[in-house]
Amino acid sequence: MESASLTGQHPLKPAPVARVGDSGPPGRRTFTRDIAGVMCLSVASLLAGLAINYFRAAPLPLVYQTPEQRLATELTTLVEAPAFRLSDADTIPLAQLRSEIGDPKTIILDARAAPFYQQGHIPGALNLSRDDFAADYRRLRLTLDASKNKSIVVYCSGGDCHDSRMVASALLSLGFAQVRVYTGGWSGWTEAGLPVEK
Amino acid sequence: MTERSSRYLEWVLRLVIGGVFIYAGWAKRNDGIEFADSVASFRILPSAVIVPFMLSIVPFEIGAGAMVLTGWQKRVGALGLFIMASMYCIALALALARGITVNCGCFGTSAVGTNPWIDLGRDLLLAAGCAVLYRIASRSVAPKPAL
Repeated sequence: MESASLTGQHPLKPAPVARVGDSGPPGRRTFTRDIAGVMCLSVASLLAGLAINYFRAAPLPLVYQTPEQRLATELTTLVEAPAFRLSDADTIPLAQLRSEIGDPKTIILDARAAPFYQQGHIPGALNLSRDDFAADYRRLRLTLDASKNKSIVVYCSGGDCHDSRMVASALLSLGFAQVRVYTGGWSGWTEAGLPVEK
Repeated sequence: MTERSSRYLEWVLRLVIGGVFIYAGWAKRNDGIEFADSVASFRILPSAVIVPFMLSIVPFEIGAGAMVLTGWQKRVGALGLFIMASMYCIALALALARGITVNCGCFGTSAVGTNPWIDLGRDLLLAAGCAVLYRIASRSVAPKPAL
């Protein structure tokens, strides 16, 4: 009774039940409980963040991609499934292409794969292949970005080749305004016996 | 420090720290991939962790800030914010030591052009404030010694 009166504890009140984390001194017990609280808050925040992201209009992918990787993915998607915006009016015949060769206001792009481009291409043409569009676009980016207001002519092999239309549509999606396609392509150029650059 | 002044200090710290972190979380609520880029620019976390970490920051800051401000589980809130502010300080100090240009993104990615040294100083102050708040809040619940 004497000790109970000294501590102010009622003699009939049961002793407090020990809980998990109650084994140390009072300060440490409090700290341990607070750390557990912070961990619970962290887990709840993670779950809330994932839920908010899930219901976003455009959820973020959970694995981070660098801006370069995102650009490559975007460009690849753009050229593989382009929103075709070209009409027949956006094509040019061989005679018109010939007149624009050497014109500083015109850029000619070869949409064929690099090995074909290296074997020979229209003089002054740059290689922006459909096969490796993302890498080629990044390589030519400075030149292309400086030519947004210039006329761009794209060609590929010719005949049934659609690479030039796909590249041209991708360029239109990227903000290039004056993009046209030379439908005769490489075969049309060589069959006419015109000069070739290697 | 008297009990009264300690109580005033606690109130001031709760208002400032709770307010700052709720504002910081709210400012970042619409940040998407730009905030992930900002986290990635520190070059500390692996890419698999960056997006989940960044997604949890906004609820954590707002939640812990609200705990501190309202007083409900204020010690948990203060400790959580202390850990977070310390983490920011370490990340900023490492970036400065390695000469990496980073955008803190602490108050949203639109708030660009801040000086990393100012960011570091502010985060150090916040961490110190959280530590003091946790200390005061812990003392106020500590059992009084028996006779």
